[in-house]
Amino acid sequence: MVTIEIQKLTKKYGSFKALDNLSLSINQGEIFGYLGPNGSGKTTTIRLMLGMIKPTAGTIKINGYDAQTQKQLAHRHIAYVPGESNLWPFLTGEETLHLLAKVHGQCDTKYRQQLIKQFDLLPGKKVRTYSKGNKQKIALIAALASRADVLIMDEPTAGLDPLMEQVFRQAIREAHLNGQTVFLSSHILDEVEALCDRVALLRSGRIERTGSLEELRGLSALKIEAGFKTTPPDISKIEGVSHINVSGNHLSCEVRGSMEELLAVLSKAKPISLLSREPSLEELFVSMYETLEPELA
Amino acid sequence: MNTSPAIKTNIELTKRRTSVIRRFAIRRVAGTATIFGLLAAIESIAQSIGIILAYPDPAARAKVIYGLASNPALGLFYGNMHTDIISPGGYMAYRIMPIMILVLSIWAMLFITKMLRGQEENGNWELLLSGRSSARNSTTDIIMGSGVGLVIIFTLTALALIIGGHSSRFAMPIGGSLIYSLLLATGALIGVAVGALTSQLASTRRKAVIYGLTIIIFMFAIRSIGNAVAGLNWIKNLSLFGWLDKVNPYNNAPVYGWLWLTLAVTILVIGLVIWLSGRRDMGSSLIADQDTSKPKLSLLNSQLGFSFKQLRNIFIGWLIASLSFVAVIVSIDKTVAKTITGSGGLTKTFSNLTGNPYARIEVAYLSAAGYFIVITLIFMIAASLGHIRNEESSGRIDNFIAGGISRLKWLTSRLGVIMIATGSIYLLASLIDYFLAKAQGIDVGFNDLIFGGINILGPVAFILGLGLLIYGILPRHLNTIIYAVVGWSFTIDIIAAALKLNSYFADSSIFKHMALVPAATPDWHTFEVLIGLALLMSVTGIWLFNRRDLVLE
Ligand SMILES: Nc1ncnc2c1ncn2[C@@H]1O[C@H](COP(=O)(O)OP(=O)(O)OP(=O)(O)O)[C@@H](O)[C@H]1O
Ligand SMILES: [Mg+2]
Repeated sequence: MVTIEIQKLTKKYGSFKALDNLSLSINQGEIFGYLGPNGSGKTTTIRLMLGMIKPTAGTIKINGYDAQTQKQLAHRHIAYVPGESNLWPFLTGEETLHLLAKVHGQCDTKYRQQLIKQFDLLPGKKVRTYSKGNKQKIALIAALASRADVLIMDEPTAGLDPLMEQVFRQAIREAHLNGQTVFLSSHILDEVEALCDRVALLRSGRIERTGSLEELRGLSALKIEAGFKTTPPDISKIEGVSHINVSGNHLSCEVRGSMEELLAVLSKAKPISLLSREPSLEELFVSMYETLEPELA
Repeated sequence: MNTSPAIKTNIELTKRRTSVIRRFAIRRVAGTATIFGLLAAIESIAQSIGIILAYPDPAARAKVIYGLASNPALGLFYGNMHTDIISPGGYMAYRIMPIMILVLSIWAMLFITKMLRGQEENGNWELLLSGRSSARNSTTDIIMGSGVGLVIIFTLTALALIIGGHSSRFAMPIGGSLIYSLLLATGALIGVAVGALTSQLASTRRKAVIYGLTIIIFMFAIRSIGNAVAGLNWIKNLSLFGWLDKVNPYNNAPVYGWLWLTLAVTILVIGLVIWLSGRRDMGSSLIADQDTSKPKLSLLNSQLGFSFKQLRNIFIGWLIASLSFVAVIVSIDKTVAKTITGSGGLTKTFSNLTGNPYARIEVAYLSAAGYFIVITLIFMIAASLGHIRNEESSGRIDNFIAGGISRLKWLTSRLGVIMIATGSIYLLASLIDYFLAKAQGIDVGFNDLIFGGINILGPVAFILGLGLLIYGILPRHLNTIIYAVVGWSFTIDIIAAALKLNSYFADSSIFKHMALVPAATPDWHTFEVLIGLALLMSVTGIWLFNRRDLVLE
């Protein structure tokens, strides 16, 4: 079942297109990673989902309800964690959690207590005195404890230390087991790699790629490194091979598509070492935005 | 000794960063300083010209002014008695200077606490400084930057008085005008010193403002009591405002000593503040703060409750302001009436204000209280709308919207609370008005005052409606536009009180469209039109708000 359905979404600020004809669908129970460099439109997408801003064109449906015209119904089962939590400085942590629970209309108080402990939060203090990370924890605890069907998070772990990052990942996995849908916008590729079933890569308001990590890796080049006793063979004419780098008896390259021909040439030259490696999400990300860079100009 | 290049660039960076802060402060202060400078200049000029126009004959003028000055109660707000009081400058210094000094000092205190404690509370300095500059440097820079605001105030007032007072009819000596303007700027400097001090003491801007207001009002009250109570004249010596009172800028022999002494003490305090600011950590305060508190959950269960919790402080502040205004005005009604009965000019001023030339002077004066109720209500509404906008621009509204609270519910809860507060303040202030009048044996009808007075809520509703309309269309400019409309109306009224304005101009003031009861009879038709316009603008504004993008800072 589709939980979030985005169709041909465009958002213009003046003549600037923050989002350009973007379509996306997220299934129920999925942890969906939303990746993109600064200013690519992640926050804009989320604010559109939440009905805080209006699309120039296109629609968003959440659980079948239109996020613009049926806001109440669409947002009834959502919890949202902003990247920079904007809370009321004069309330204490505990008061804030109480207020947010009232807003959500539901709260698993036992789970909340457990989260407060796991996140190591002192709820009696005024929000004003909390560090950035601690403020973020309040927003996270409120959202997780609501057990909302859909969790929408915009770089939710900004400011969390590595220990808390682990607690967060654990909580998200738990949400996943409960069948909750998670929309996770993030910069932390490691986090996305560890948590997400599927990801979308966003650039300048357009989705460049969507798919599972395996699929994305399939689209991307495989890294090959090989060592020889003598000069490495010439592989520049083989289809799909790029980034060839020869230093002494050592060769490295990338290959897309079928590897048959490359392997044949390499093995004929009797390599003494051969290493092939899948790219990490980080390499995917970097290489993708690097190669696409010229278009940006 | 040579400094290594690396250290040099560091030093340069530090310099550049601090001048960034100074420029930031200057940019921030220039706008409001200009507005307050103009207000001070116009209000001063209007008073001095007004008295000459109302009483061209010096003998008649002397009779009225001495009559006024002999009333001790007026000493609460008016200034020092001195020999040159019937000259335009002397009258201006007597009549308006203390209030102007008070207003400017409160403005400066509000500004400086916002710049010092407010920015620190939001963590802005840390961003800007990133550890390169000390708290001491940034405090110094902010205070220096704000000094430009005081120069603006001084220059505007001095220019206005020198140009406006140079004709032979007014003959205001230039030296006096310069000292008068310097006195006003010194009032603002006192506000800077107080605000800078409380910004070191308090952990939040709100607390810094409360401490600052307490200090300023306490000093002003000491001055006022010293002025009004014959036996207690000496206590004026305990207040900086009391010292400024004694300078008498337009007198033949002004007492400059008090001015220099005030400046010296104020600058000393500022020096102390700068020293203190270097002795504490960023983000900390000298009066330790209570960081933890027992949870108070009762007002967190509904939008209505939470709106009230958030707006409560604004309401209480303006409630106290309006009640004390009304109480002071009405309680001296009888004495004022006695003093000015039979003197044409001031009677005319009041009948201009109330629009009824036949009202008895004590009733006319009593009715003026309504004017102050309206002003406080309008400021309260402007502050509340500013708060609403701030919830949106800071993104705090997102917590509600994402949680499924509709924008309509969010906004109308806040509007409901604002309307209830407006009604309550109106009712309480009017009741005080009524009972204090009765206590002095002034014959006013309960219905005339309480129910007739409802018509003054017309302009208040109009401003609320206008505010909502702007909020729906141009949320970023809400504050500017509302304060511009109120400031315009205020200025037009001040000028209209002194000069004859063409009615097109005079009518552009929102205050013009209400009847001050019981002196004047309410014009319910005007009231209905204002309410109708208010409703129209409100509905349009709310509808537009519901459809537009939420706009962050
Ligand atoms: N209110 C606005 N007016 C004009 N332009 C805007 C507005 N809001 C966002 N933008 C622009 O839209 C683009 C997308 O912004 P968005 O905040 O969605 O990026 P993001 O992917 O969330 O970036 P980050 O990783 O930095 O959070 C940016 O270029 C931004 O400048
Ligand atoms: Mg963002």
